[in-house]
Amino acid sequence: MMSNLSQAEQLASQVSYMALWVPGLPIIACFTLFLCQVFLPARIRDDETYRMIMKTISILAIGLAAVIATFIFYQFWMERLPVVKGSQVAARLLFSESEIAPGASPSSILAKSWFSTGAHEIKIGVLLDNMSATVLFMVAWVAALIQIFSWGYMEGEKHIVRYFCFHSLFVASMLGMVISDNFLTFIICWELMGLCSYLLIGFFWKKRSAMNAQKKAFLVTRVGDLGFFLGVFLLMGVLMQTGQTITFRFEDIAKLISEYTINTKYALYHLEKATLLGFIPWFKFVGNKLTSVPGIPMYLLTASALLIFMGTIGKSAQFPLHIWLPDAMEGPTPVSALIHAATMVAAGVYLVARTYFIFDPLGVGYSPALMIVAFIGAFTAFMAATIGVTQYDIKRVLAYSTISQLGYMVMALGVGAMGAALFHLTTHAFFKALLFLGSGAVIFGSHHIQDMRYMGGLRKYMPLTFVTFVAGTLALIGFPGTSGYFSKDMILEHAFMSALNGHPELWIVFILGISGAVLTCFYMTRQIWMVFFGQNRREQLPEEELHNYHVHSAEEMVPFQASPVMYVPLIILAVFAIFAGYPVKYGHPDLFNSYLYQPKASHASSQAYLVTDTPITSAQGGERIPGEVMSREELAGREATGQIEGQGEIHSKAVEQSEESLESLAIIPQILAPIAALLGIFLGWFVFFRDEGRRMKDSWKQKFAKLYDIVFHKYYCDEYIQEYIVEPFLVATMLLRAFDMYVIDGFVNLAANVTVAVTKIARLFDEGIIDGMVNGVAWIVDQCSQGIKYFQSGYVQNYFMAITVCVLGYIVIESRDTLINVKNIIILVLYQLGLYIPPSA
Amino acid sequence: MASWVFIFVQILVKRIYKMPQIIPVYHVLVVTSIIFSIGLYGALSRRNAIGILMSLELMLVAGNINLVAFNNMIGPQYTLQAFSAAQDVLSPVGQIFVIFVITIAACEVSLGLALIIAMYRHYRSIDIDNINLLKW
Repeated sequence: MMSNLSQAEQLASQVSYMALWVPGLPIIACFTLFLCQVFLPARIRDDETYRMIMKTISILAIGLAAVIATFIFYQFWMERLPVVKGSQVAARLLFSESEIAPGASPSSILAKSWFSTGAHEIKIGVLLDNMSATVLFMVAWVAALIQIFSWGYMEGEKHIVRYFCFHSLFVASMLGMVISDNFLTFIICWELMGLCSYLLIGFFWKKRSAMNAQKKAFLVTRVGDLGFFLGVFLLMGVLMQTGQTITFRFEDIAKLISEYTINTKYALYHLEKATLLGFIPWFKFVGNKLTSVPGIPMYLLTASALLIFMGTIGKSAQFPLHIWLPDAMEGPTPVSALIHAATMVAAGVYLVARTYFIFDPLGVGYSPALMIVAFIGAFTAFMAATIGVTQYDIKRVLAYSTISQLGYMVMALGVGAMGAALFHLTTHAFFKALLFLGSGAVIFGSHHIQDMRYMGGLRKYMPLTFVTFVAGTLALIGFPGTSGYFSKDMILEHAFMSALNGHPELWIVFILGISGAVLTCFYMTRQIWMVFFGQNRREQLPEEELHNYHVHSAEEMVPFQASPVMYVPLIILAVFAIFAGYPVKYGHPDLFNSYLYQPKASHASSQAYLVTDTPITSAQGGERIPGEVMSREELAGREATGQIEGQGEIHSKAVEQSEESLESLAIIPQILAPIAALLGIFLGWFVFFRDEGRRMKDSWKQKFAKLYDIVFHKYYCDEYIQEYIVEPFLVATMLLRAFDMYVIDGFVNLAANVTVAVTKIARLFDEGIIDGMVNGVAWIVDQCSQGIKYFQSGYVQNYFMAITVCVLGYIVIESRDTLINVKNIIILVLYQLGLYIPPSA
Repeated sequence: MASWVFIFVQILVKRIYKMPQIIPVYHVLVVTSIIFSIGLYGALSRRNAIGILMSLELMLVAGNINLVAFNNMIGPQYTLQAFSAAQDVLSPVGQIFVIFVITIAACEVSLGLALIIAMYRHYRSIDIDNINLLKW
């Protein structure tokens, strides 16, 4: 059977089976640790050797998973497996059976039936394309390095086995989510991640703040998850309208959406007219109403996409629900690194990227849903960056920087640059893991001081940490040449080109992005200055706080360089953070293309597309449907071979603009981004490193004290949400409780009391009359039988006598009128014996 | 008295001489009635359990004789084809019933004797008057 498959397909099958081990190994490690911790006696569990073994198991498992992920990634990197090329798929209909390009055959092999309900068979499997393989590679490696770092950072922790157990489960669920090819396992892993974040953020559960943080993280992300679920349900409902059997697999859903929206007449024509605000044409996107062609109503797709995006808002900490992420700093620092780099927040961005075919069903990189995504992302990027400027906690600054960078990713998704978003996700994972682990090393080295006001001058005490931290910072601010530069530049370029290509509202997004970039450089320079430069300020630590650090005076807390088990992962991550951009940018620009989403035209590459109002008949007999999208190359090719006999008006708005001028304009963001970065660095250097700058800063701080206060308190987001959502909610629950207690319970109790009263009456009736009748009958029978019961003597011969008498009596009585009666028998016998002679004889 | 007995015997002798070669069924019935009555009387009046059992056997024997007698009375015309091809051969149906009855009677007797032994072991007596527990 296998011989029928091509070599690439065989390899894909093998690789899909191997991919199961990537989440499988951490899961096995998790269960091993769990069972050991539960079933082994306390004598063994308290042993240090036991903890070493458990830690080693966990790290080995995830390391092996990382090696397997590397192998899978290598197959895609060397293009042994089909890599989805943007240019290749542009010229063809998505998923039309006859025209599947050889380069884009599915890599989803393991699709096995899990269970079936009625006519619907639920299949689950593994979806590996270049996008998921790359993310898999990134997650596995970053998680492995973080676990190695944890070995050093969590030294001496009593519950270290619990920590590694949850850590493994966390990573396993993220890896499982990345290779999921359906919503079902995706949601399962998604929820497992929520659980693990809850468990790990509250790892120090004896601290009240950690308890609150874990609850907050869990509940806030639940709000988003609710939207995610509703979106999936809505999508399923919409797809069931097409009459197809229900399916959770992304591939099938993409196919359905592609088939049923591509026919939507005028959809793109109206999309073209959607210039300033994309809201108005929503209502014209209705496939069913404008044509007789069956289609999925576009507004329902938009609604389900936005609901699914709510999951991203929750998990990836976008604007209204970003409040949980800074509080999640209560967990151990490696957990923060894991949440911020590899697992939790990456899941939200990955969700949108994986389901991009819902957000952009027409494949043009623009839709109403995407525009909202872009605005939320850009606003988050800017807002979080402003908050980051004012924070003092070293981890909190990084947390807001994470929110800001996630805003960039979501913004990239919104402007149709899915590849750029995932590129930034990957590079961000490397440099943010580096920064968080670096901050962990700083905190560890300065005796668990987290406030940057009491650090300073640490570059002399921990040079290696300093170097790696600066490397991460350079990547984060997008210093030219680092990996962050390439990815952030790509995002800004896409935003710029989208704005240029007839969507002027996206200029806001672009400007917010650029200003966010400046602010990023500013607050990172500030952080570097506060932590590593100047004089060490640990003496300024208030006396009353010293007991928190178990010292008598601040002089004892001499900072020190962390051990090799901590700085070796930092160095590896630093190498990735600096150099990861080059091979992707220059070697594999298509690395992040999704198999499921293949754009027909891209704004950034300014590929023109055409919309026809009337059918174009091709020479081969096939009919192109009105409203269909065609790339410029395809149109040119078809015209050249005479396949098109143009009959209708062709809107070729984008074609009229010269392609060269657009291409040349792309240089503007490429120049702007490094300028923004350098401007931010310069501002930071001027404000923090120079005395006159510092004086200016202080005077400005006083001048704009009110604004500073607002930003310092994170725009009072927590307070507003507490006041306007949580507290009304609590009041409502109290009211509902009162209603429940007094009204609902009152009804129930009333019914119960009435029943009791009725039953008391019924009991009297029952005891007096019903029982009386029964007992009366019994009494009568008893009285009557008093006289005749002695007939039952107990002697068997009496009974026999009675029987005999009865039988004889019966015979005599019954036969008295017949011929053969007792009298006649006696006469007969006497006659026969000759003792009787009848008188007449 | 002696003259009455003489007359009675003479009458009997005369009747016997007048009888055909086959004993009429009525005669047999009279005999069996007497036997049955003796058995019935015994079953009702004996105090000894074994005696009651014997009386029951007498009643069964009366029945058996009746069966044979009636079989002879109804004659060969009711002969079943299955038993014999010849029409004039006497049917053995009555006799077969008798064999069944004897078999069952044997079982009954063994059962009854076993009960009597059990009774004896319990009461050290087989007097039926002692057994009256199942009363009011």
